[in-house]
Amino acid sequence: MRSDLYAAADRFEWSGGYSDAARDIGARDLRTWVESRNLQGLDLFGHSHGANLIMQATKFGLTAGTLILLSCPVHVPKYLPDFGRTTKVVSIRVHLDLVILADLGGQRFRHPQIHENVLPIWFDHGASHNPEVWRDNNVPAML
Amino acid sequence: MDVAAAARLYGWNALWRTTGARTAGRALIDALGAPDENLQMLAGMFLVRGADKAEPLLKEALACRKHLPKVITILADIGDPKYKPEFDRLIEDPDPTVADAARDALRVLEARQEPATSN
Repeated sequence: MRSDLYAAADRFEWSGGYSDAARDIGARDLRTWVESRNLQGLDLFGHSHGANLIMQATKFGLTAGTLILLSCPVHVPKYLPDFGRTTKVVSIRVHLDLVILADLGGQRFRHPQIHENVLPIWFDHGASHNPEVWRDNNVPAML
Repeated sequence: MDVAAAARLYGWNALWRTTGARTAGRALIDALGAPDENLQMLAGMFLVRGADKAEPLLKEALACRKHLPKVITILADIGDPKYKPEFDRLIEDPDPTVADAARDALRVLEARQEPATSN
């Protein structure tokens, strides 16, 4: 997907919880993780509510490069980035994502500063982080 | 993604939410262990939304260590503080994924009890 993905053993992880509280904790932890390694300005990939987590982290003071939101449930205005702390925001998703439907989130962003890309795939929440899907649909060109 | 299995889960959820049928609720619990992570996520979301209705099913799963650590995460996201002692105990669990989930669960419960703060 990218040749410069962070590959060290101490990669960032969060609980993957289903609540705003869990995401806020993860967002603060991400900021701490980045700053403790002096890695401000990283491009960040987030899948599902992990994408909301990375947007929330910028609201909590994290400085990032491009935010890549993969199959992100849209909950605006609750989850939007601090656009002043990112260089670009790109969303990649599929048609009628069944997990986002269950989450009662919106299926796409309608924000001028978020570049929305809908892949020619239906229902599959996990497709947006599948390397084969990236290759077959030339996703790197969308970033 | 197994779309047919996802549709079945939607059906189980609708049945469970409208009738309270435990068989339907248990189908959601079972889906937490599905090989397809999309189905796991769907089940988790449905159970969190079920809140009070989900609690006895999750308690039962916790007691027999079924689908840990996911059950711990879901209980924390529902937010009932009565599980705090259980999470305190699970911090010492020999399974590090369970211990980590219990630690995260305690943080979530704590955060839910704090008043909102500005950043």
